[in-house]
Amino acid sequence: MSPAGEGAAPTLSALRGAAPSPLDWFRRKGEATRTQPPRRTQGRRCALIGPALAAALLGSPAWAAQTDQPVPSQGASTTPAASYEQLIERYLLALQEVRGGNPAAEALLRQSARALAARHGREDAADVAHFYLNLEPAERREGQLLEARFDSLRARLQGVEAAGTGPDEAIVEALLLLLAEARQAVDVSAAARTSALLARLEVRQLELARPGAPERSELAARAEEHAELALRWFTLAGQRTPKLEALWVRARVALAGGESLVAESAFRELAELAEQVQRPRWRERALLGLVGVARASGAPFAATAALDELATFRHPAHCWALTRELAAQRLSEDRPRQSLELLESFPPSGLDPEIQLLEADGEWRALQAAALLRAGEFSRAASALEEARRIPRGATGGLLTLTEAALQLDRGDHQGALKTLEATRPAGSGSDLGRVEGLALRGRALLAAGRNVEAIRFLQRAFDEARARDAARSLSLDGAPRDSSAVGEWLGLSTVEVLARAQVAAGQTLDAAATIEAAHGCLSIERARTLLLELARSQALGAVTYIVGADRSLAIHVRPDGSAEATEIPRGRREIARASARLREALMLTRQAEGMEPVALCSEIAAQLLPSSLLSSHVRWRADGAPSEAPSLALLPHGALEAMPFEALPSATGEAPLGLAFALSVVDQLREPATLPPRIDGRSASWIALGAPAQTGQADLPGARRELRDLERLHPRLEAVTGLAFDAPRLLEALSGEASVHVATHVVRARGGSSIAPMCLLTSAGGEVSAAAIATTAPRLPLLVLATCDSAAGRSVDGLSTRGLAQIALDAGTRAAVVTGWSLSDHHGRAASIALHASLRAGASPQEALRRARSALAAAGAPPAEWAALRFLGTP
Amino acid sequence: MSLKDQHSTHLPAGATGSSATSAALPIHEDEATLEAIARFDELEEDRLTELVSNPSAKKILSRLREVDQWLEAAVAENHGGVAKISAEELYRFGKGRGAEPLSELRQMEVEEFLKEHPEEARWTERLSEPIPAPLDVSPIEDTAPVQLPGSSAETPSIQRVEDLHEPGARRGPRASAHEGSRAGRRAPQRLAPWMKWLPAAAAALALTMILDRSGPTNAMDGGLPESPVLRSASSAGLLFPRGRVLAPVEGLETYAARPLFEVTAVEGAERYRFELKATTGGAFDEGETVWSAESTSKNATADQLKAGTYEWSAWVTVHGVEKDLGTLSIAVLPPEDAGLLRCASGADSGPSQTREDIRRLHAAGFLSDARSRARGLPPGEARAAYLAEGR
Repeated sequence: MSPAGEGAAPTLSALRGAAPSPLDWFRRKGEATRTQPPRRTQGRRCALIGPALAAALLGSPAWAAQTDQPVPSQGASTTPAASYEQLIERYLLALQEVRGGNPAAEALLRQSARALAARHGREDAADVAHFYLNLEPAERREGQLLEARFDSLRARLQGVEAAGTGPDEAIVEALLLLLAEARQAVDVSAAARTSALLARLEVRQLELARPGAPERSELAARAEEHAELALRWFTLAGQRTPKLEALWVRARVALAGGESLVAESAFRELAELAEQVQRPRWRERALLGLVGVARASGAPFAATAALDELATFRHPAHCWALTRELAAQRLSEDRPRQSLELLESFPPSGLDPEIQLLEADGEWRALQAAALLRAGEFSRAASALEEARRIPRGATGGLLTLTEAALQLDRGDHQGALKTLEATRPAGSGSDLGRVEGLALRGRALLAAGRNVEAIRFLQRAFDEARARDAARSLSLDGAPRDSSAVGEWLGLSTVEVLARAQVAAGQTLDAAATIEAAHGCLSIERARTLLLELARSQALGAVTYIVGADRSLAIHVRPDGSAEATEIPRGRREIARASARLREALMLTRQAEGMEPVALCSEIAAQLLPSSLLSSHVRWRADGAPSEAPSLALLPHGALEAMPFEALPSATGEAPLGLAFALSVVDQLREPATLPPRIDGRSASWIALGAPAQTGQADLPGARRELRDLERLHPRLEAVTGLAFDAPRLLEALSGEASVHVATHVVRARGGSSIAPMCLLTSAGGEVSAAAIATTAPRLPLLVLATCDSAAGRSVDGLSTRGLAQIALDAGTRAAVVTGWSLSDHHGRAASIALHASLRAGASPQEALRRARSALAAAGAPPAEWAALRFLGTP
Repeated sequence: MSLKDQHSTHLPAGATGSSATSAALPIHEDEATLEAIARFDELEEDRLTELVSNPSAKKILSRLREVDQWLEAAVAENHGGVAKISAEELYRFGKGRGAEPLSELRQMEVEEFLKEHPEEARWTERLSEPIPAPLDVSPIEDTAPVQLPGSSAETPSIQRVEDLHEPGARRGPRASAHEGSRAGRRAPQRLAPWMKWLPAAAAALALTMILDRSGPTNAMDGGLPESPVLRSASSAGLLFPRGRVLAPVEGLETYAARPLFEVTAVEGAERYRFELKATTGGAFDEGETVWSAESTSKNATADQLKAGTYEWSAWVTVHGVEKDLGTLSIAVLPPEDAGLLRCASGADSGPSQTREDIRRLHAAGFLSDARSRARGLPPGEARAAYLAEGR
C-alpha cells in the first residue's frame, strides 16, 4: 500500500499498458529485416537458382533467409529419403529448366512436386508447376524477362536501403512502369512480385506519415490495392509463400487505419499460411501482430491464445518477444512476481536473431522496473530504472517515464510525479496508450495532492479516451461477441476505481456509481445513471454496484429513493479473487459430507463486502411492514467480484444468506430495457425445454430426463426435447426463437480452449453448441435457464462481464438467465428446476422463483453446494 | 475451506461407517432397485409386484406415489389457468404460523374460493400440523423426528444463517452417536411456508431426496463410494489433497504423514511446480510458503502435514511457458475420532475392511485419506474407478 495514501497506490494500470507495443516492435522489426542481407544457406541457394524461382516457393529472397530449416548438404540427393531442403532445391532447378525451355525437365518437376506434397504437405509445389507447365514457351520466356527486370530493380532498392537513404522516386517510378507492363503478361509472377514490393514501400511510408497527414489515406489506398493485386496474381500462379508479404502489408495497412478487426483477420490468415508453408519466422511475426492487436483492443485472451501458439514453436530463451509479451501479460494480471521470474529466467540474448540486443535490453530493464515497482520493491525498481536510463531510449522511453512517475507516487512524492509527467509529456503521449496512461497518472498524482477537481478532470479524460476506443470497436463487431475492453484491460479498472473514489470524495456518489457502470457497459455516464436509478427504484432494497481496484475497492448502494452511499472495501483484486475462490471451494465441499458449511468464511467475507446501508435498508423494510414476498435486491459485482458466491453470504451476522432471504438479481451490466424482451410472466409463458442428451460419451443424466418430463406436465405451453432429438441444430433453433428456453445437459470445455467463452453445451451424439454458435443465433429470450454445471463460468475480462455461455446470450439481447456458479448434481438440478418452474407458474418473478428454489433445496437438506450455486443473472 | 470453519466442524464421535450408510440409504437394495423405484411409473406390472414384495422398497414406493400425486395435482391446477388465490394468501387465510392476517375483504374472497376447491380447503385446515413426512425420506426404517416449524417468534420469515449451518458449525467435538450416524445425509431443514403450497416443488424435492446419493452410493454391495452424477465433465487441474485431511499421529501411516500432491497430467508438460502455504484459514489471508517442489511427474510428495489450514497451488511448464493449474485449500484436522484414525491408518486390514474404511473416510469428507487407503487395495475395476474419481 502506498505511503502516499489516497491516489498514490502502485499504478498497475500505468504499468499494464505501458510496455512497448508489440505493434511498434514488429513494425520496426519489419523495417530492420528488410535491410538485412540473406544469412543462410537457402539464400545462397536462391542466388544460384535465381531469385524468381525461389520466390515462387520460398517467398522473396530477403525473407527466404528467415527459414528455420537446417543447412542442406551439397549434392542434393534424389532418393526418397531426401530432405525437405534437398527436395526444394531439386524442384527449383527443374522449374528453372522448364521455364528456360527444356521439356526434358518437366517429368522431374512433376516428380519433385509430388514428393514435396506427399512428404512435406507442400501442395503448392504442384500448383506452381502446373501453372508454368500450362504456359506456352513464349509466355514463359516473357515472364522470365519481366522477372529479371524486377530482380534488377529490387537489387537497386536493396542497395539504397542498405545505404540508409530510402527508396528514391526513380525506383518507384520504374517499379510502377514495370507493373503496368507485367500485368499484361500471361505469366503474372513478375506483376505479383512488383505489386507486393510497391505495397511494402507504400505501407512503410504510411506508417512514417504523421497521424492526420493528408497523404495517409492515399498511401493506404495504394498500399492496399497493390497488396490485393499481388495476392490475386500469386493465387493465379499457384504461389503461396510469396503471399505472406502481401498479407503482412494488408494487416499493416489495416493497423495504420485503425481497423483492428481487419488487421486481426489478416494476421490470422498470415499465421495460418506461414504454418502451411513452414515459415516459422513469418508465423512468429503474424502471431506477435495478433498479440499487438489484441493488446491494443484490450482483448487479453486473444493475446494469450496467440502467445500460446507462439510458444509451441518458439522458446522464451530464443525469442525475446515471447518473453516480453508474457512478462507484460503477467504484469497486467497483477502478478509482478511471476513477471519478474520470467524476466530473470530469460533475458534477451544473442540466441534470438530477430532482436537488436541493446534495444531489447532496454525493454527488459524497463519491464523489470515496472514489475519491481508493482511488487513493492521500490529500491530495486529505482535501480532498474537507473540502469534502463543508461540505455538509449527507444520505444521504452514512455514506459520509463510512466514507471518513474509511478515510483515517485508510491514514495509519496506526488509533486515529483507531476513534474516528471509534465516534463516528459511528449514521451508519455507517444501513443494512444501512453497518452491515456499519462493522463491517469496525473489524475492520481493530483488526487494524492488533494486537488480533487483537477484529478477528476484528468482521470475522466483518460476514461473517456478508453471508452471511445471501446465504442469504436463495438461498432465494428457486427454482432460478434464482445471480447475486449480498453477500459478494463488497457486503462485498467484500478483507474476507474480511483476516479470513482475521487468522485465520492467530491460528494458525487451517484456519479461515481454511474461511472462504474459506464465502465462495464456500452452506455454514456448519463444513461448509466438513469438506468441505475431505475433499477434501484424497482428493487425493494435498491442496487449495489462494485468496483475492484488493485489494492482496495468500492461499493455504492443506491437506494430505491435515489440516494446513494459509498462504502470503502479495504481489499484489492488479488485478495478478493482469493476469497472468492476459497468460498466457492468451501461451498462445493459441503457436498462431500455434513458439517462442512463455511459459516465463518461467509461471515468474514460478508462483513467486508456488504455495505452496512444494505442491512439498515433491510431493517427499515421489515419495520415498514414487509409484504409477504421476500425483498428484492440487485447486485452489480464487477471484475474479481463476479465469481463471488453472494448467494451464500449473510446480510449481517445472524441473518439468512442473501440467496435465501432476498429475491436476488445479479446484474452483469446495465442494458437498455428497450432492447430487451419484456419480463417473463411465468403463468402464461411459452417454453422449450431441451436436455438429457443421448450417446454423448458422458454420464447419462436420468435426473435431467425426468426433469424435462416433469416440466412438460407442469407447463401447458412447454415443448420438451430430449434424447436423440436434442441435437445441436434443435438447440440453436430454440435459442433463436421467442419462447423461453430451459436446458438440462452437460457443459464441457471447448476444444482448443482459445475462444473467449470456452464452454460448450453438450447435445446428443456428441454434438456441441459453443458460445460462438450461440452468438450466431442472437438469442433474445425472456429467460434462459441453463440447468447445467458452471453455466456462469467463462473467462473474465476486466471491463466486461465474464465471458461465458449465458453472458453471450445476454449480450445478444436475452433479458435474463438462471445459471450455476459451479457443478450441479443431476438429482438436485432436477429438484431445483421443478421448484423454480412451479414458482414461475404460480406467478413469482424469476428471481423470487429462484429464491424459492434455493430455499426449497436448503429446507429439504440439500447442502449449500447445491443451492448457493444457483444465480439469477441479467436484467430483473 | 477456512481454518475456522474446518476446526469448528468436528467429526461426529462414534460415527460408524455402517450406521452412516444405513441412515443414508435405509433399504438394503442394489443400485438397480433404487433406480427402478425412482422410475416406478415406467415399470411393467410384474416388476412392480416384485418390488413391492420388499417391505423397504414398498414403503419408499408408496411415498413416491404420494408425492407423484401431488405433482399431478399441481400440474392439473396449473393447467386450469392462473390461480386466483396465491399460496401465501392461503397460508395467511389458514392462519399459518407467523402469517399476517388477510384483510376482511380478501378473507371473504378466499373463503369463496375454498368452497369450490375442497382440496385446498383441506390444506388450510392442516396448517398447524407438522410438515408432511414424505419430505424427509432418508430415515425410513428408523424415522428421526421431523423438525417442525416453531412458533411465530421462533420462526422468522427469513431463515437465519445459524439454522442452516447448525449441524456443522455448532457441533461440539463429542457430538451424539445419533448425529454421527447421519453423516452423509442431511436432515431436511424447516420448510418455508410457501413450500406447502407448491406441491410440485415439494414432490420434486422428495423425489430428489430419494434419488440423492451424494454419499457412498454403492456401499450396499460392499463397493467403493461414487460421486454424484454431475452435469459436466470434470476439468479440475488440481486433484488431491482437497478438503479435510486427518492430521498425522506418530507411528501411524496416514495420508498426512507422507502427503501425495496430485494434479491432472498436461500434454507436453516439461515440469510441474508445487507450492504449499500455511494459512490462518481466513478469507483474504495470503499465507506463508512452507513447502515447494518441482517434478517432472504430475505428483509430488511433501513433508508431513501438521494440523492447520493450508492452500496449495501448482503450475505446469509447457513449451517453456509456465501455466497456472489452480489452487486448493486443505484443512488438516486433529484426529479426534479414533475410529476414523484407525480407518486412515488401516494397519493389518484386509480388502473388505479397507473398503469399509474407505467408505467411512469418504463419507466424513476425508477424501485424500480415503484415496490413500484405496491405493492399498488389490488391482481391480472398482479400485481403478475410485482412484479416477475427481479427475
